Amino acid sequence: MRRAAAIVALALVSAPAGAQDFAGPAPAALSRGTLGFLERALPPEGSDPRLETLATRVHGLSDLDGVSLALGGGWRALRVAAGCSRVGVPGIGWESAGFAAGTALATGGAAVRVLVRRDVREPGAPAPDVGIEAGGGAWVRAGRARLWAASPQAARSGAAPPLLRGLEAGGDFAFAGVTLWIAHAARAFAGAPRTRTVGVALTGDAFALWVEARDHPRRAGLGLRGQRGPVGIAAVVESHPVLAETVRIAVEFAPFGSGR
Amino acid sequence: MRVDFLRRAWPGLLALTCVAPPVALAAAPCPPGDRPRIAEVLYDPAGDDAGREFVELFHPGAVEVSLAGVKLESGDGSSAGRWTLRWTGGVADHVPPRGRFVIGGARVEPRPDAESELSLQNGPDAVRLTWPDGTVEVVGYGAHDFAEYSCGEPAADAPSGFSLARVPDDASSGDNAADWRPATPSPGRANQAARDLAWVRGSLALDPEQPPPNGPALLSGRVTNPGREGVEGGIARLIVTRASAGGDAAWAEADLVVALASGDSATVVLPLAAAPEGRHALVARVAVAGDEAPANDADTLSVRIGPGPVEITEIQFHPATGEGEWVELMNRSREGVDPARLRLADRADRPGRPAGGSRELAPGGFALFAQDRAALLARYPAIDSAWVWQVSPWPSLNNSDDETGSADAAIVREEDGTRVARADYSAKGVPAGVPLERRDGAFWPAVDAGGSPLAPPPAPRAVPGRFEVAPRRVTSRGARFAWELPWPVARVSVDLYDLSGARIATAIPEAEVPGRGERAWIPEGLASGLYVAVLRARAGTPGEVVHATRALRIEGGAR
Repeated sequence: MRRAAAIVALALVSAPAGAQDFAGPAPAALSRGTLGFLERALPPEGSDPRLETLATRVHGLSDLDGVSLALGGGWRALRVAAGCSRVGVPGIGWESAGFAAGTALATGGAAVRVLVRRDVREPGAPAPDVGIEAGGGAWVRAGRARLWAASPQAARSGAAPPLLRGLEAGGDFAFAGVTLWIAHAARAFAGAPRTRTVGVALTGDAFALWVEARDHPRRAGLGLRGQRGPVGIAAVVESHPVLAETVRIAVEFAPFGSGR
Repeated sequence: MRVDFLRRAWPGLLALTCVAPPVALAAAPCPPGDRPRIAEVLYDPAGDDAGREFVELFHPGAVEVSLAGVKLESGDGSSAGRWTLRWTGGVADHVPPRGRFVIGGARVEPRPDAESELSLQNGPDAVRLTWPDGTVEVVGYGAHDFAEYSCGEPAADAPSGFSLARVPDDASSGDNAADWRPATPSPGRANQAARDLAWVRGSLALDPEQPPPNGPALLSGRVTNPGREGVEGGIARLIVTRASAGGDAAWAEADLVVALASGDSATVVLPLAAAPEGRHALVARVAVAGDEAPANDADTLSVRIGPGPVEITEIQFHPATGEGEWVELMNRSREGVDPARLRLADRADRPGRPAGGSRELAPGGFALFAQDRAALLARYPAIDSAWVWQVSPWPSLNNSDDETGSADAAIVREEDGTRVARADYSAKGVPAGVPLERRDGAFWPAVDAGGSPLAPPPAPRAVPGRFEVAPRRVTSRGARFAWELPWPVARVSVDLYDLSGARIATAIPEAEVPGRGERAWIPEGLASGLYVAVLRARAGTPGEVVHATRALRIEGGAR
C-alpha cells in the first residue's frame, strides 16, 4: 500500500510544465508531496505532517537560485499545506507565500491553492509589485491507473507571475514496481508551446529512480530519491539542448514516519 | 475691272488651292549637284556660344565657285517660314575646287573665311543656303514639325560642344538624318579624315572606380576609327598620363594591338601603375602616325585614388517614424567641405543635388543629406538644421538585399562626377527603423535605435561576461543586448526561453555583427514573466562558438 501511494505521488508531480515556487524533484512528492500540493493543488494521499525544504538552480543561472520551505499535513480526509519561497536576485527575483487546502481519499482528491508573490527589487527601486493567483487541482484513481488535472493559475490579479501556466493534465499506470506516465500542458499564452511529458520510474521501499522526457525543446531529466527513517533526500537533474541543466534538491522530514 | 478678273479666274484659283500642297508641308531642297554644300554646322559650342558658331561649306567640284550673292539663313523650327538672313557672300568670296569655306564668329579657330555672328538656334532648327539662281539647300536638326526645315528627315541633335558634320564630306543621300552625325568640330578640315583614331567620348572608366592608394587599377575605354582608312594593329600607341597638384606623370602606355577598319571600335584595357592618394585628371591619348584629326585623340577622366574628403558614416534606408531616408557624411579631411558641391546617388547612380543647409563642413564635422529635410528636423528637433540638406531628386535606397547579398549603395560624388565615397550595405538582419552606422570600419545596426545623426556613434560599453541585458526588468521601452566576443566580427543570435525551458521568441535573428556591440530590443507579443536570453555567437571558423545566457524580466507584456 505504501508503495502504491508513493508511485501515485511520483506520477502526480511529474507534470510537464516547469514551475516557479514549489516545484520539487519528484522524490519529494514521492514521499508525501507537500511541495507538489502547493505548486499544483494536487492533495497527497497521506496525511502525516511533513516538512520539506527545496533548493533549485534553474538552467545553471545563479541569478535564479531559489529556496523554499513547505509544511503540510492532514486530518482524516482534510489536507492542508503552507510554504514560502524566494527565487532569484533583486531586480528579477521574487518571494512568495502559498497555502493549499483540500481533501483526499484513496480513490481521489481535490484541492485549491492560493499564492501571493512579491517582486524583489533592488535597493532604491520603486515599491515591489505584488500579485496573487489561485487555482485548483484534482486526481482520481481507478485500479492501477490514475488521472489528474490542475489549473494552478485559474485566477490571477496584480503582478504577473514569472511563468504563466495553463491547464495541465496527465495519467499514470503502475505495475510491479514500474510506473509509466504521460502528461500534457496546454498553451499558457499566444506564442507559447504546448508541451508533453513521458516518464518511467523504478520504485522500492526506500528509493526511486526515474527518467522523464519532454518536448519543446526535446529534453530529459534523471531523478533519484532515497529515504532513511524520517528523512528523505531527493534530487533531479534536467537537461536542455540549449540552456544549462536545472537541478533541484529537496530534503524531507516526516517525524511520524513515512506512512500516510 | 477687278471684279471681272476674279469672276473669270476663280475656277482656276480654286483648282490651284485644292491641288497644290501647303507650302509648310513641302519637302525642303537637298544639296545641289556639284556645287558647294553645307558640310558642317556648329550651333551649340561648349560654353558661351558668342563668336564660336560656324557653318562650313565644302565644294566637291573641280572648278572654283564664287559665293557672291549666296545667302546663309538661320531657320527657327518653332513655326513655318521663320528664316533669318545671317550672311551674304561678296564678290571676293569663293570656294576652291575640293576646298572649304568657313563662315563663323570671331572666336572660331582657325579664323573663318568670312566672319559673321551667326546666332544659330539650338534645335529643332535649320540652316539654309540660297544661291543667286534660286537653288536652295537646307540642313535641319532636331525633331521638326515642318518639312521646310530639312532635306528628308532632319539630323539628330548634336550634344553641346559637338558640331553636326556631313560624313563623308560629300555625302548626299537626300536625307539629313542619314548624311549628318555629331562630330568633333573641325572648321576648315575634312569631317572624315583619311586616317584618324579617337577615344569614344565618355567611355573611359576606372576599375575599381576609387582604387586604394598605390593599389592596382584598370583603365578601360573604347577606341574608334572614324577615318576613311583602316588602321592595322600595333602601329598606334595608347598613352595615359595623370595631372594632379603634384604635376603630370606617366601612368600607363601600351600598343593598340587590334586592327580597326573604318568605323570600327574596340574596347581596350590598360593596367595602371600605382598612384598616390588624391584626385587626378587622367588623360588618355591614342597616337598614330598620320592622324589627320588630332582634336579627338584624347579624352579625360577625373578620378580619385584613395578615400575622398568626405566619408559616409550613417545610412537610414528604412525609416519607421516618417522622417524619410537620410545619409550622414563626415568631413575626414583637414579642410572645409561645402556639401552643396556634392551629389548623392544610389546604386543606379542617379545623382541628387543638396540644398537647404547653410554651413560649410568643418574638419571632423557631420552633415545630413535628407530625403525630407522638414520631416527629419521634426523627428530630431535637437540637431542643427544648418547641416541638414535636402537632396533632390532623392536616390531612393533599397530596403532588401538582392541576389548579390547587397541592398543598395550610397554614393557621394563631386559636381563633375568624381567619386568621393561609396558605401554598399546589406539590409539583412537590420531591425526595422534602425539605421546603419560605421563602426570599426564597417556598417552595423546603430547602437541607439534612432541612430546618431550629426554625431559619432556611441562607443559600445564594456561587457563583463561577454553578454549583458540592461535593464533586466524590461518594460515596453525595451532593453539593450550587449556583447563582447573574442572576434572582430561574428554571427550572433539571441533567443528567449521561458522559465520552463520552452523557446518562446527570437529577439535578434542571426546576423553579422561587430565583435563588440549592442542592439536595442523592444519586446513585442511576449507575456510578462521571467525569460532566459540566450546569445549564440560564432566566428567564421567552424567550431568556434560562444554561448551565454542572462535572465531578464518582462513587465507589462501580453497577458
